[in-house]
Amino acid sequence: MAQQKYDVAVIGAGLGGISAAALLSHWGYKTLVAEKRDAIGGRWSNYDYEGYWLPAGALALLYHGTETEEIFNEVGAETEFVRVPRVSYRIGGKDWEMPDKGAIGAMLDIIENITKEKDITSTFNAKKVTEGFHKGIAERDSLGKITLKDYFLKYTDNEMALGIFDTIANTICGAHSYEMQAAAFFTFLVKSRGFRDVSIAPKGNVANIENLAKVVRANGDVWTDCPAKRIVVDGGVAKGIVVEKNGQEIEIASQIVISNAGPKATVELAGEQKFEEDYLADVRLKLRPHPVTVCFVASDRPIWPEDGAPAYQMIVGARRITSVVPLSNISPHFAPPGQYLTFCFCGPLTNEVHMSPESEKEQILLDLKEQFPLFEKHGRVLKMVYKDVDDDLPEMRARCGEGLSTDTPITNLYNVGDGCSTYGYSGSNLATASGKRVAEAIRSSIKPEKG
Amino acid sequence: MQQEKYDVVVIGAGIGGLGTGALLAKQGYKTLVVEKRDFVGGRFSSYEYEGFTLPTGAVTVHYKGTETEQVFKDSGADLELVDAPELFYRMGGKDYKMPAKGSLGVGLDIVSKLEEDKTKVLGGFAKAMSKEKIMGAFRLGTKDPEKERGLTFKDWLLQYTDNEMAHGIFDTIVGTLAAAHSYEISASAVFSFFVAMKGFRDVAIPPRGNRVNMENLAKVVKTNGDVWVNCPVKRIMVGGGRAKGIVVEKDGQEIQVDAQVIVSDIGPKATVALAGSDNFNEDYLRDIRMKLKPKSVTMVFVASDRPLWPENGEAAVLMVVGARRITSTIPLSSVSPQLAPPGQHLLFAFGSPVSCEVRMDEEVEQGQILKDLQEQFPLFEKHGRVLKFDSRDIDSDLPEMRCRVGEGMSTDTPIKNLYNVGDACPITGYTGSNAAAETAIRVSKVIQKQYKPGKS
Repeated sequence: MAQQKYDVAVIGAGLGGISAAALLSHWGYKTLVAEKRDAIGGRWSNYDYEGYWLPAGALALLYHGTETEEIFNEVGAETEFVRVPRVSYRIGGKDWEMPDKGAIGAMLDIIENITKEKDITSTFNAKKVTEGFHKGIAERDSLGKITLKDYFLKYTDNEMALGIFDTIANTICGAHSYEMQAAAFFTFLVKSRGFRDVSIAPKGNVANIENLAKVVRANGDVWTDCPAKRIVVDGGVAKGIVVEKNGQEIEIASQIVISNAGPKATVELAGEQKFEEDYLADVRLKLRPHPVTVCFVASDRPIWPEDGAPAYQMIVGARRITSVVPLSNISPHFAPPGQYLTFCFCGPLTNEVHMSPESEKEQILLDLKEQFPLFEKHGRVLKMVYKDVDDDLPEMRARCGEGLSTDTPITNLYNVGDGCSTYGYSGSNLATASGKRVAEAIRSSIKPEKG
Repeated sequence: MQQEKYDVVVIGAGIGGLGTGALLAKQGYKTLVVEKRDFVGGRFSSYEYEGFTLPTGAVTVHYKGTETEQVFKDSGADLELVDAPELFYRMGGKDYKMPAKGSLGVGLDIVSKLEEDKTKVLGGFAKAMSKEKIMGAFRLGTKDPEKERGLTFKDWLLQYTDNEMAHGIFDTIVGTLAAAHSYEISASAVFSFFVAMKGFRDVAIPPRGNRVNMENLAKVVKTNGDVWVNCPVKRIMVGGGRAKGIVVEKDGQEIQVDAQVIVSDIGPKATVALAGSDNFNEDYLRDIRMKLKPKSVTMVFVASDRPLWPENGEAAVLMVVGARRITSTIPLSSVSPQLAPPGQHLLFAFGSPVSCEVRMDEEVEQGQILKDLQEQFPLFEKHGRVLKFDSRDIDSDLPEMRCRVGEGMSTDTPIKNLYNVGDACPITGYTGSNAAAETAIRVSKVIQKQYKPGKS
């Protein structure tokens, strides 16, 4: 078998893997990133579909002031992002633009008005629920395991009010309010400073991650179409990986192995018998991927907002759709000339079982007709992407606030990516935070080999 | 307004309410049971539909040594039931007959075997699943149910295996017995349930429908009181922190009925609505929001010109593992031919939506159940038809269950002489008709201690 030597071998070229690799390359470690797909980026990539530039996963993200920004700055990689100017909410069939501050209170006020218009005897009290929200923020560290839905049931059982929190939870964490902890939700809102500064890469995330890959290549390699066959472990220590390249197996000897393939796949590659039972139980218990359907709508005019402005909307109380981004209004790069692309994020009812694509599709189609009057005449479903609970690239590998440590029971073997937990993080920043954490741990304990 | 006086007024003639009424009437309390529907029994009843007798809720009854049996015995009412003896599990498309005891272990053995067979066909490693480990942990769990309070049952099992079929077995059992998915019920509730129910045995069904049984209870009430059907309660009168009586509509007239004690079997939410929410403190109202999480379900009744399952017409119960919605089926007319017209057959299937956190979409549920029927019962398309879909959503007046197993409210209310009975107020590990029957026994005992008959 052909043999090669690197300081660090990284399995998987998702954002977590490439982030760790870019930092380590930048710090002088000779690094190899092996990716089984034919392109880098994982859920931070894009692909051409009938002339549209579709995101494979992450779309809108928090960039400014995050680990993601720190990594790009540290390694000197360029990024291109535009800030989404307008976040609005659709409540009771109407669109409401929200102030930067006090959006939750403002929404609950709207709901109180709607509720009282419908039923004069309603006792719904927006002020009481808003106070509950602020109490949750203040006491987020002592809320225990109560779910977000149960937390707000203390204050109200108004469906629309509960719907707001469900929609926000689904949009930011891909989880329903009854499938995530209130503490994780409140911590996320605090860390993201209210989820207001939302950025989108105008040429797709792949353009940005490509800049990180360039940093890796300056002191190492990024191989695509190269599936890892196994992780070599000897005496409880990772010694390298075996990859397949052009039909040949190559053994890569390395001081460190980093896996961005998800902790489950890491275990399979290293061999289940190398891990103790407690760790395996954690893998089963803590990695609960969220299923989601992403629906791309093509149209010959903007279906929302109809004036073609860049915007971002969360929808309260629809069947499946929780948020909508008119991508081509934000950057014409996403659609062919004269065409428009709208992204709809849709959450199935539970992440506990497999989804049924046919019923998801039916429900999403009904949503499109009910929510967007222009859809039937001007739009069509370009593509539905179903990401089930056992998808290789799920929406999220773990529920927000859960997940595994980046450390593994095997010395010099680390996991990165969104299967690793940083409390109150979600999506891309979960991946970059884990990449940064692992790179820093390696830098402080192991020196790159000379020459 | 016309006025009447009773010792006890019971609102709602479900098994909790009618049970309380019968037990107290038997003990000398002049009792009135009022029911807004035109029949007694609530979800423990039955009705005629195109010549078939269909259950309104409870299909099977666990009765030997249970509170349901005790309510009938203590009030001297007949309880007609016949056993549905054989239990089968359908796993990986095949039916396996289960022993009366230890069926869980047998089920897990079959999973192991199926995984091994799959491995032989596909190659690779068998998906690790140690039956001994799971059964050992399960026994430990039933010894100390409280220990596992923080985990859902699914999470508890994930500690030991992520084998989908093993999870499917438990999900099916929990779904059938406790009407909840394994991810919507705490592990401690499941263990308590197993302890309380002593396993899954002595399943029986009422041969002529439960309405017959409930009318027997109503007769007991009538020996020392009245049962009024078609009589919706308009309000519960409260003054000075005490319930004074009710206002009920009868034949278009409002009647005021005074009583020493009021018992409500319509669910704590409806009780509050009738008495006025300002008579309850905020803590109690919050408990109602948090603890009453009704379970939704679709009951499906299938009519056919020959038995669909088992095809030989035997009496049996089938638990289905891994279907889209159906978790259990009972060929009702094979257990009791009286439930179907001559030459016809009646099969019941229990269809559980994927989540009881949100309203169900009836169209989606029915579509998925139809596919299940086609996939699970080869004779269905040619010989069967859906007689009736009966969907009970989370906000249904008569949901499958008013709360999840292991949750629920106290029978006491902040109003001293106002009690709730029914399946919203279960003791630990109880569910369904036995949960409701138990509240009838408990509340009637409390009332006997605190109130004397004839004082009003």
